[in-house]
Amino acid sequence: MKRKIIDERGLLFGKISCVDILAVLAVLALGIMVFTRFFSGGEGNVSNTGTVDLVYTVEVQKVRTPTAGALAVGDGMYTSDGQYMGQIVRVDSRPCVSLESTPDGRVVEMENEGYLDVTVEVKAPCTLSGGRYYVNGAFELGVNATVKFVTRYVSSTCVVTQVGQSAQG
Amino acid sequence: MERDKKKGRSLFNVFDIVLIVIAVALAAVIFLSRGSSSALTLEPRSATVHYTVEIRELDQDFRDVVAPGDAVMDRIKKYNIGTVESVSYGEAVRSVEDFEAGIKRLAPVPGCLRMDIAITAQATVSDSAITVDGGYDVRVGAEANIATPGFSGTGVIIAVERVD
Repeated sequence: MKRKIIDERGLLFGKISCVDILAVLAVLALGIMVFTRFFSGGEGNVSNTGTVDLVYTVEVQKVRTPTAGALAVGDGMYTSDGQYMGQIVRVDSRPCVSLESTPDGRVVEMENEGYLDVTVEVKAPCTLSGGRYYVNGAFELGVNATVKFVTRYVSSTCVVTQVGQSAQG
Repeated sequence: MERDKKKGRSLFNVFDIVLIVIAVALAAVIFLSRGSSSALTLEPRSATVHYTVEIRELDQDFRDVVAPGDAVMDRIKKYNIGTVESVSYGEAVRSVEDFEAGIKRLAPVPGCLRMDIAITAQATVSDSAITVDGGYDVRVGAEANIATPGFSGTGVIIAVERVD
């Protein structure tokens, strides 16, 4: 009699429970996730073995004066989907200058009345893994990244421009 | 076979139980290692919030359509987002290039007004948000699609009074 692949008892070739096989696969998958989370990154890299307070800089460009005014030292910053980015430690505003095309075919810098560019320094607990900094182990820091962010009082977009040294104290 | 009948087959064997325990432990490790969503842990609390919505280019014929005491609703998701405290008007402006002066200046828009609507509402305040009616986050810079009795418009939140 030809043996069924899965018999009436749910056993693979009559010997191994399919449920057990699925359970083993699920545990293996979870184990791989844990391994990559904590131990990947290559030889010699620090991985989740210590948290340092890092200060990084973002630029909030061409925002209206009320928006710039609502960014305040001490406020927490979060991505638009809720990941913690750090605490604002410095805010510097200056007149907004943008590149605009002229009718005669040139690109010139023009100041934008009523708008500001804001440099924000953010301090955050970061870990280093695989050469990358992660805030709270989740939000990856990288220069030139554009991030939609919020604080309790502001919603805007910023560009990461500098990932700095460890914060003192 | 009779021994099996007498013993009775249980739903889980030892191997299944061990696998379940390991799976739950790994899942817990992954979940807890995501990192807290905030290092500024503040218990959410209730507070009264005062904020202002600016309607930039309101047709001047619609002046006085919005009045103190009007209930304000979010047009998109129908949240009740507060009550009008006051309404003020100013010059509507638009950013235009002045190539001669080398500046983008704010130029008046004829036939239009800027309307600032001050709104008050009960909110839940957390580290990251001030939330009205369970789902409407109030933040400067956010677009506001509002409706009051007899009026609807799109503007921007330009001020939120600090709640510390």
